[in-house]
Amino acid sequence: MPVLKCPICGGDVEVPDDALPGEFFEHDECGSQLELEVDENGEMRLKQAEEISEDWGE
Amino acid sequence: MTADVELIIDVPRLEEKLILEELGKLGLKFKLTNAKYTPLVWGERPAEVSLIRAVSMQRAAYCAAIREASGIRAINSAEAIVVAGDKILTLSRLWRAGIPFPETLIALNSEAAERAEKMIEFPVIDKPPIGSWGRLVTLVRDPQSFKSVIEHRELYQSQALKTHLIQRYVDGGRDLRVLVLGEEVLGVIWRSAASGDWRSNVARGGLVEVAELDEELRELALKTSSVMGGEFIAIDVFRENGRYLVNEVNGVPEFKGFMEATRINVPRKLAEYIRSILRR
Repeated sequence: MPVLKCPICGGDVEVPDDALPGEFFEHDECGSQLELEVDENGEMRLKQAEEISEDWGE
Repeated sequence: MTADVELIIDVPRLEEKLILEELGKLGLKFKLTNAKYTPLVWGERPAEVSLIRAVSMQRAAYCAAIREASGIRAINSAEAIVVAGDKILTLSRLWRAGIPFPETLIALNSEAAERAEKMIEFPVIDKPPIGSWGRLVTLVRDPQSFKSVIEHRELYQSQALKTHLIQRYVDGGRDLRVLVLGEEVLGVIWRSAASGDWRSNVARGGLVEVAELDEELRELALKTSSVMGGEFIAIDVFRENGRYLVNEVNGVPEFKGFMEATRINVPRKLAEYIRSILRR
């Protein structure tokens, strides 16, 4: 399970092996909502998650 | 090489992971496209079928439109996503087809909403035409609360969020969710509001249990799906005094709660449906 840095508090965040680009995670330690980003080289990082927009849903 | 299926996402949920798993189990070649990070081009054909699963209605509709224009079968079509994603467009389509829904007034701004107050009997439901998961859906019990709702909605920049659907409140604390795939009604569940809420959305913690699918509901669901032009559609329905009333239609349905209640493997059904299209 990869461990990435929380961009808000700097703490460690465990990301599941089956995580997909764009998936949201809540960092338990600081409560931040984070989003997994994977660049063109396959490098993974977490960034602050996009805010829920008015047209989101099902 | 062209894949069999392209799964278009923006924010992947459990549903999308389950779909990928089942596509793989059936041996279908799939390509995952996250529309947030991937430029889209007309004429590109990454797959025979694009399964549109973006949570943003606008992104979902644009992705479907671009893929359809390029000769790819989009599930759902851009038209179905747009119409299902806007409750006024949905109800207009239902009305034309003679499909019953609770009495509803539309007020396109605060002035019209204030005038509508004289035409309605409280309690009513006030909601904007776009959005999901019960956001900004308000149970309004009296004129004073209605004034507050109107004022609050005026604060939004978005024209859609200044627009009001004012709908007769159907009491009962629960509604039915029917899931339709192609010509098949997969099943139906009851959704009940969680303690402390009146909305039955599963995203709000609503409780689910399997419900009985009678012939009348099956026909209503198939007709609604057909009128919307959808292939994979969820229809929310009230049961009132022995009759069914359609409440809303969902063009990119979530199905965690449905699977929990019915034990039906929805992603498996979806994968089998796509395989049947590819074989034609």
